[in-house]
Amino acid sequence: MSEIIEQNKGFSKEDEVILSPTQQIIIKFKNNKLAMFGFWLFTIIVTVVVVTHFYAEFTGYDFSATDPALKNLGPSWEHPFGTDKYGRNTFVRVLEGGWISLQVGFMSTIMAVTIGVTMGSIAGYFGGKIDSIIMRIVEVIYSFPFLAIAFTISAIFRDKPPQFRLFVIVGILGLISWTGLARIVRGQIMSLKEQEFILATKALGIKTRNQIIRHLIPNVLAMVVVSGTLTFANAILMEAFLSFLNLSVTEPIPTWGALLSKASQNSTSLRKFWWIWIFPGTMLFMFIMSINLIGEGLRDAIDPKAEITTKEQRKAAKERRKAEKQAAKEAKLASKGGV
Amino acid sequence: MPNVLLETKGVKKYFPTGMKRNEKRNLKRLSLETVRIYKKDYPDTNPKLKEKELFNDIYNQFKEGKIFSDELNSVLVEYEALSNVHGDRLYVRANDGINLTIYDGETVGLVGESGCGKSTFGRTILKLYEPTEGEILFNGKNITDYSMNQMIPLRREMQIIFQDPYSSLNPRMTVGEIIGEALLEHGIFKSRNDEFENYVKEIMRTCGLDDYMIYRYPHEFSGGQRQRIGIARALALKPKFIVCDEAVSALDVSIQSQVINLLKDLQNKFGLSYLFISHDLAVVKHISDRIGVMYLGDMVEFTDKHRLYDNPLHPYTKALLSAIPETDLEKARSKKRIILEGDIPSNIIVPTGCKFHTRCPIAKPVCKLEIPEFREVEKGHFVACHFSGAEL
Repeated sequence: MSEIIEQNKGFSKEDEVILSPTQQIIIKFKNNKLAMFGFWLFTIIVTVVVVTHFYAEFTGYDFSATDPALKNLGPSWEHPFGTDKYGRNTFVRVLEGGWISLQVGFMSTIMAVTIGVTMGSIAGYFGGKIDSIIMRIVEVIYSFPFLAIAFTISAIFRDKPPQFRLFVIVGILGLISWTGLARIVRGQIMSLKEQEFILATKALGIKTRNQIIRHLIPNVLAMVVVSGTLTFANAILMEAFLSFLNLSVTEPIPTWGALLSKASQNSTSLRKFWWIWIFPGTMLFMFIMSINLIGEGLRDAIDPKAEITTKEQRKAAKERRKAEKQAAKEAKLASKGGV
Repeated sequence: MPNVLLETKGVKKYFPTGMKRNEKRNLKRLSLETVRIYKKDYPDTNPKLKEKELFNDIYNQFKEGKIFSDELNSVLVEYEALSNVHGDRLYVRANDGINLTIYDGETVGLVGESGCGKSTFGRTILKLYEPTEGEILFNGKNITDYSMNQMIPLRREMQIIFQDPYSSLNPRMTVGEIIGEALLEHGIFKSRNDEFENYVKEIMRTCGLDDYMIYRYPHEFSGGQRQRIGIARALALKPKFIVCDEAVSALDVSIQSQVINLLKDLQNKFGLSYLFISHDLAVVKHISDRIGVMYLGDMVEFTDKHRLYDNPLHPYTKALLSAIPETDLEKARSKKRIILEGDIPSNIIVPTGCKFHTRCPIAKPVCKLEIPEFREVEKGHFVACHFSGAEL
């Protein structure tokens, strides 16, 4: 009797593990190697940036303090990332530069995703006239030249304080980058609303608002997450680009783009003082890469149909591939020998 | 007599196709034929007249009331009928005026070929589709013009089980969410507390699903289990009336019987009424009290199940019933199989008169011209046929 119980262990209903949807998502995400790498990279960068920002805030670190004696020094223990041509510590400036990027990235992404998903789902669900109006608006915004607008608006608010200019940048980025997302969401929702489960929600007497929020949007969430991370990365790049053109937050507040721009102002500093541009550049690259990795991992984790590959499975697959390769090699050798 | 739960009066549902009717070619053919017959019947016509002018002349005379030979008359009648509808907007006539009464606690079966409008009817009476014409009365209230929001409180009392267990469940929601969503929406439970969860589990048990499945996603289930989720979702609101839109046709036979017996048990327990849509005659016979037979958007026969199976009056019903496979060899030998010629006609350009005349073995000229009335031949036995009960 006890043997039978032992045999059935792991196969009976009592042994089935009940996992809530959230737990399932977390497990899937954790089993994704690349996504976890991106996640840790992201966490480390964000933590360091935030800690530096508040450290600078509380200790009253002066970003405009210059020291001609420390001009253009290479990396050392005292100045890990070297110093710039005014003798300022690049290490602190690079870490502080991320603060602006983070703010711009988060705020404009939240803005773009909110507007994009709302507009896209309204257009897709209701169709007809509402759809036409929203899609025309999207097309108009889509055809705005981003740089020209950024130039103009930045010029208008040139005298305003840096924090205000930051919000202006966030506003421009958010208002311009929702259009692609709106199109994706609209297309998805148009095909989804013909499915029978939406008819079922009508039959159940679910309100239109909840039909969209609870049934349609979760089904496009994977798309939104991927698109959202791309928007996030794009917003940070755009901010860097604007700083590079001196259209974003101005001196003495550092941003990654502005640091790169400083370095590129003359070729001597580019060639000789590599530490001025290589550290902000690397930070920017790593941050954006980590965001994209997280996005990819989240998409797989949210999709209930996506499969999990655990560590053991990955190992097994690796060994299998190795064996196959070996077999192929041997077969090739054998055929050559035969000829 | 039990209460009338749901009544429909001449419900029509047309789906616009966005096209217009083009009969140019047919009209031309008919006009040429008219001229040919005319020349044959009246050899002393002016040979100089062009065909078009001659035809116009004949047609004008016909309109003024002149009577020609029978052959010519019939062609001209056809021409007139076609020229009247030429240029009309085209619709898919899914339901073409259906009258039906469903009493409290009974099961009405609805059978017919695929594409004859059974599912559309089931959805139209739940107001999932707006009816083009006609009236729907539920519990004595006329719900034809109710808006989406006005319908919401009524949804607690009328539900639907869908045919396709795959697309009718949201793939992003767990079973518990799917079943319990409407309960929260209608305010039967205020929040997702233990009481709510117990209620959902109880409903799941009633439908043959285990408790531990509550956090699973639909794609982790088999087709039969998914169908039971769909049934549980409909039952969770404790409705009075359920439309079973081919609820068992996606399941294999052993699961079919389970689900049907489940539906019957629930009917006894809660006093439900069903509109059971199916094309499986054996299943319909098992579950229904009264059965309606549909053909191309029309109800052709409606009566209680014993009378329908013992004494069908409409030729289509007879043909349909003769197609049921028989397990008794003696019976099978003596049984006459009625084979209908041709395919089901288009329900965009429907046949004139009785829609069944194109395939009916006993069709007479009158069938082509006059639409038969849906009338009560015996008490509780409705048939739409000019020659109801005639031998085939």
